[in-house]
Amino acid sequence: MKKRYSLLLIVLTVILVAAGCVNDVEVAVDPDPVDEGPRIFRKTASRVTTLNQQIYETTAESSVMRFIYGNLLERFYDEATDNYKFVGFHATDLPTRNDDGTVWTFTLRDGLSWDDGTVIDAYTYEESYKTLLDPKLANYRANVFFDDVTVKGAEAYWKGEITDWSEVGVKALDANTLEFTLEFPCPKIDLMVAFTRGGPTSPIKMDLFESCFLDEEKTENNYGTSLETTPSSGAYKLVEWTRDQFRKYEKREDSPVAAYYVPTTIEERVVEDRSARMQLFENGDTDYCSITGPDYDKYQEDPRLVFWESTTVWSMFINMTSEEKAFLRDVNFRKALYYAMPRDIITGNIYQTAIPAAYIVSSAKIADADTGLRYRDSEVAKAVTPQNNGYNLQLAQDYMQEAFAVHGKMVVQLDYFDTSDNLKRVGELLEQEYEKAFGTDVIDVVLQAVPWQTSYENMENGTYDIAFGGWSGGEFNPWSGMVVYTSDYASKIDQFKSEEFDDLYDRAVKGDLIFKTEERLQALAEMEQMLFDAVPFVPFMQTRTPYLFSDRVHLITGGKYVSGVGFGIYQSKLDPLATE
Amino acid sequence: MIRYTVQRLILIALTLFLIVSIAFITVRMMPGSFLKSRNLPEDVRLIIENKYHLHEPLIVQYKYFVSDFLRGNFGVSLGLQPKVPVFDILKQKIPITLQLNLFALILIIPLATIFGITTALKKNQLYDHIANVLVIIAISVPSFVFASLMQFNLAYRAGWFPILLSTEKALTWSKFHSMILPIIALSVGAIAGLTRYVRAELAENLNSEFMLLAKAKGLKQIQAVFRHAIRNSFIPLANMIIPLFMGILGGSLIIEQIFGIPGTGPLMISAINANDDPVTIAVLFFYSIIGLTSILLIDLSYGVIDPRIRMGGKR
Repeated sequence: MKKRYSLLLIVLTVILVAAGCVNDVEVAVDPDPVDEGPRIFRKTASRVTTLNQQIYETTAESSVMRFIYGNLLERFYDEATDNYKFVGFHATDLPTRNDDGTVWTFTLRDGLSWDDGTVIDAYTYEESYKTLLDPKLANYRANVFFDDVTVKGAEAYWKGEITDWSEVGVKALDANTLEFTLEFPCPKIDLMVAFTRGGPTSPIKMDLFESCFLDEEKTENNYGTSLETTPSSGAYKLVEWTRDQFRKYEKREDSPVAAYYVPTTIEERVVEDRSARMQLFENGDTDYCSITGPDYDKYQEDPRLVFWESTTVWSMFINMTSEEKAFLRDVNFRKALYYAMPRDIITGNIYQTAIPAAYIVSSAKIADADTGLRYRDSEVAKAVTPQNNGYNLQLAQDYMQEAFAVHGKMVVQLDYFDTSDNLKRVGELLEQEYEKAFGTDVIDVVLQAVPWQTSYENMENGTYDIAFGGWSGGEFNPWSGMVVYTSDYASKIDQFKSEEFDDLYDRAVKGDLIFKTEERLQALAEMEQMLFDAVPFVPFMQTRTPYLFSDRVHLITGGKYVSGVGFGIYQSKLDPLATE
Repeated sequence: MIRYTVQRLILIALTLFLIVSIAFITVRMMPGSFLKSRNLPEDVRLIIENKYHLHEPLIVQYKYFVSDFLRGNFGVSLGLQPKVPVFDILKQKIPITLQLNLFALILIIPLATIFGITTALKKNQLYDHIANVLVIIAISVPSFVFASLMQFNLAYRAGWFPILLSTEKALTWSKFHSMILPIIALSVGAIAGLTRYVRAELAENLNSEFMLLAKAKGLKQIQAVFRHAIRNSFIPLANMIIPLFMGILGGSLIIEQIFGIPGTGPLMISAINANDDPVTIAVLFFYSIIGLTSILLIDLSYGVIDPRIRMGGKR
């Protein structure tokens, strides 16, 4: 009997001990590169809520849709120019427009089809857009036709104000010709971006959609919620989908853009746990991995590390219309905080993968769609960008003294997200640096942990002193991104309001400047300057995500991040797996 | 017995109705929207929310809810899996959670019983002391720590197990192989907790007067223990099964996340975070049914475990 007890104890002890100490094992080496045959690309991904392109909300979904849903256009990395390029996908070529830019026409290819052979033509697109704008369905993504590209009558139809579809500016003139009539002119790049990659402007398979209604009133539809209800019009077909666990795609060789894609199969494993993602990559089970948090310390010297640039610039928002604290309304106080912001320390010690940003428009945003020129590389942007990452302690102290002379000692509460250790550390650093720079007899920074949702609500309601926040946005239209600073923006989190800014925004986005490249660029710089002058927030960093790729992936961009196409991952040469 | 069972079933129905009503009011009073995009214009947001009557007075919303509820219609998910009927989501996720946790139960109950009995019989001896230390460690260290340690050392470094749960749909050997670590991670804490409970109950019964009587009647120690002491110790143990059973269906948020298991673990929290009211209410309703039914079954089983207990008796 004693032996049995001991045996059981030994088994349990072995399990507990083995969990704590096991030696390293060797990692298998891939074979030499071969350029032919099937190629499997393996990656980790996030869970998706829906693959109905008319109601999805997050990038997790759009990253799946880019494989399986086609669109009129597509964009790829162009080796010849070392930049992005737009090509026709379901369309033969880029769209043409009338003189004033209000009527745009796409010519569709012949022989387009869904994965089951059903034909796709201009009528499929028109029907899809009629469904997108169907008021009974209340599709969240319908706003692509009244925010991104303002199609005539689209918003009124979606809201049920007009019921006659012929009044909406979408028409299939014949099986190969699709015409859009817009409320006001639209820059070519905006239109091209709106019809690129799988998303709300991708066609839906009407017969399948009709069979997916859940109620007689036809208000709820489960299209795109399972493998059976998710068709493919894109470069890949979804062949396996275990919700929240696994997705597999097979390349459609008959796709017009098939030649651009190297992997013949893409396998995605849903992994939410950071450590598990890392272990899979290091084990050779996946082909790339983002590096986050403490892992960066381990890999920061790794020569394989490449950085994905983000359009998000993080800022410290200041309640410039505070009724309680007059000093927050004083621009001298806000400028003092701007020039004393220790951006280099924040990005050097806390957010090590980020870069210091004393500016508002991210360096990933493109100002000239034809040349790929980034806004921050333009001369007008350089002219308004503060020197030395915006750090000038003497100037900051001068501004603060002016504020102090008027208001006396200033006690300010800085809200940080309660779930973010890094933002807490930034808060602590700012408390220390500001009090050191200006003196504790001048300023007292009080830190307060707040749930992020509450913090944003407080900012929207103007019931805060100082809080962290960030805006991202598309890479191709920095002008549209400025909408968040306009006076009437619905989810506005700053308190900046300027008619001059609003007018300039309107002119640049839907007015007389949209086809005037130089003037439009100048307008963007002017808008940024207005924000620098008023200081409704203090920008401090632009985030970047570091990635590691396995040795079998030979990035076509050589690891350089190219706005609009990233690293061109799916165009990159891929060595075969040992099992292939 | 039948009358008692019917009475209890009626009470369960009333309790369920109360639970879902309270749940409905609570979740509808929570701030936020299932629409997370901050870029959505306010009028667009309103139109979409109005489709689900979210801006009607609470009493009107409750009327819609009750009329659907009584027809067994919980609606479709709004945030987690938009447009998917909520019970389809549960149907999708319950099998793998059940599978894993039933294996865990198969490990937990016998091991905990064996450890509990042996430590009670060897009370205050070296075996008991060692087992107690291990039990304390297993109870004190959260299961996700075990899970992460095992994943890192046994799966990643040693390569003895897959890092994540296999994606195979059928229960094959390779899938079972990938389930071993999550099963152990799920079991360690429960085995320890139950071991302590069995040990304490049995140790108390071993010193009771009926054991003296049993031995005085000529039963050997082992006979007395198995015929009398253990049976008496199992009555309070039955109560432990309820939370254990609920745990089975609830899954484990962290462990499922660590091993990439598409189970029910994160469902409740994700639904609340996503302001997905239909899913939140449906999950709560489902768990309530399981909980209340389990309690009824446990109550009814008392009579089987101990014939002295009569259900529904007036005196």
